[in-house]
Amino acid sequence: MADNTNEKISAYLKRKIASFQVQPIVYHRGTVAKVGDGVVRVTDLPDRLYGELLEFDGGVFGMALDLEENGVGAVLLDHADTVHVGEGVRGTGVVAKVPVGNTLIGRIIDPIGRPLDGLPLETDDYLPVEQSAPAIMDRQPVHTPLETGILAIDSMIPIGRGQRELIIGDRQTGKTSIAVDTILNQKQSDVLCIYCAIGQKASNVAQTVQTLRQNDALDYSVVVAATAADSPAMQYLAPYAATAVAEGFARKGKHVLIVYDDLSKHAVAYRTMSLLLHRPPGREAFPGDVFYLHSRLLERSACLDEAHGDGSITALPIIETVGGNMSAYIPTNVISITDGQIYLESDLFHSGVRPAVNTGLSVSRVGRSAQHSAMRRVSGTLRIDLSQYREMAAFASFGSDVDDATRQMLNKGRTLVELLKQPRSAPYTLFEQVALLTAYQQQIFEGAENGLRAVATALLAFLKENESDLAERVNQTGELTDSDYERLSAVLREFKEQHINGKSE
Amino acid sequence: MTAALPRPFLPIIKKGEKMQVTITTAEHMSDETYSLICEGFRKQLGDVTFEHVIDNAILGGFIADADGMIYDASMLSQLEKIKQEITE
Repeated sequence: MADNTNEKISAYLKRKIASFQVQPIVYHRGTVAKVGDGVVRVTDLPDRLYGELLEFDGGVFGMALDLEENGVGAVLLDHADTVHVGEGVRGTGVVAKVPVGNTLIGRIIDPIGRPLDGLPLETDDYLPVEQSAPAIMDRQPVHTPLETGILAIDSMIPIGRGQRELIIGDRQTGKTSIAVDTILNQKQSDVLCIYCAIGQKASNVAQTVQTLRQNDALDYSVVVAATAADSPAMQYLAPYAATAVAEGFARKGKHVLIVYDDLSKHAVAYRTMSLLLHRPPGREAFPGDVFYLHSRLLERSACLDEAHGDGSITALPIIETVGGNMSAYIPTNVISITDGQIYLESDLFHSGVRPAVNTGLSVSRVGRSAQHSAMRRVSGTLRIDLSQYREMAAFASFGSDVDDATRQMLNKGRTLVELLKQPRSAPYTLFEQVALLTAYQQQIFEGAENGLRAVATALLAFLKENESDLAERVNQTGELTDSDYERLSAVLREFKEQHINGKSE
Repeated sequence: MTAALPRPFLPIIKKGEKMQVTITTAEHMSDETYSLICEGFRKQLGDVTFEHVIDNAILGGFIADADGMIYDASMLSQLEKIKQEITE
């Protein structure tokens, strides 16, 4: 047995040595003139590319970001302890690139492609981290829904494949939860997912990875992580690296969902780097090109036309606001870049409305063309109902007498708010969402306002038991024909008779 | 090996200054071989001055340093490359 292994090893070594090509190596060699705060000044290293990887004698890598006539300003990607003045620096001739391809699925990598999950990574294909966005004529309008499984979003703020939808809100309002739930909901679909952690606590990233693993989501996901302990340059590169991984799939016709968590920390990392490179600070000390930082990133997410593989990259960037201020610098920048936003409010969150989506301020600019026709049929009046309820709700809190029509509207609104509440990691299928909204429209829940959650759960269980073929048909086709609608209505009335009216008697 | 230098080896020649090329070899290189190397660089770079440095650490071959542009044809770097390829 040992002989067999030895033979295999020696055959492998012989093969490797025989195939080795003797080639001289040509490179420029500079010298470190100054080191400090993760920024290095290198002299005698002309002709570098912008963003080129530089290798220091100790094996540390840096990225050339300041190109001058006689030298280069570089930001270190790894930690700075080993780099000292007078050390040699070699230009590698390549800009940062990241491995792409199917071998990445289920893996956790850093922005330069090194695996973080303790296992070796093999790949044949690399893509540069910075790439141009698809041209105008290479794109097509967004036409296919991307289901999040979250009723509040799929009904009123629908997202399509190839869209960029911002998730914005204060800290601890459920932004990451919405993004992770969307990833979990792609289990039955053909969408690959990438979760990009930028400047997050390592414990949070570990928690998210655990959630993905427990729900078998790592079978179709990749995690690209640059935690708060990583250098600002790594945090800066992370979303671009993640997008390059996504492009590796999209160019082959696949559909990809990418979550950037979060771009506020990304802007801060870029500001840190720019200030250390002595670039002139602008508003809030951010460099002048902070808009371009995010616009070139998000423009790479698109819906490609058939000639280019018919793939798509859907982006869910996350931005954290302070004090609910959507009008701050970075939030307004990213809002103007994306195709809509999902606005989460602390007040709603703390009053128990979770997901804490403010449907008045949230919008999807792609809109109803990114919705299945079944959903379109039953979700038309929801926004209006909610906004009317919100306007009138103040009267209800004073306990003042209201007329019957107003009382009915308030009840209906209360029911809808309760219905839109949804626990974490529990996505609804399309049929379940359509069934709940049809029940709402037909006032099936009337009389069950207390304990609506339990009634809704019972309804879904009832439908699963009795109408599984209808459910499958709606989930597969995305359509609700007239006959199916009639059938669903009949079943809902039956449920109401048995479970709601029957109980109240 | 220096008969035709690869294209990227184009150090910037500062106008008015004669470029100095430092050739580092291992102790055992013959004078004849050394002259051949110098001739090869002279053909590519024109009128240059040479400085010869002996360093046994490179094990064999030579390293030419033309104003920061390195042409590394040393035994040591080739062995490093083999090591990298085998351990990949």
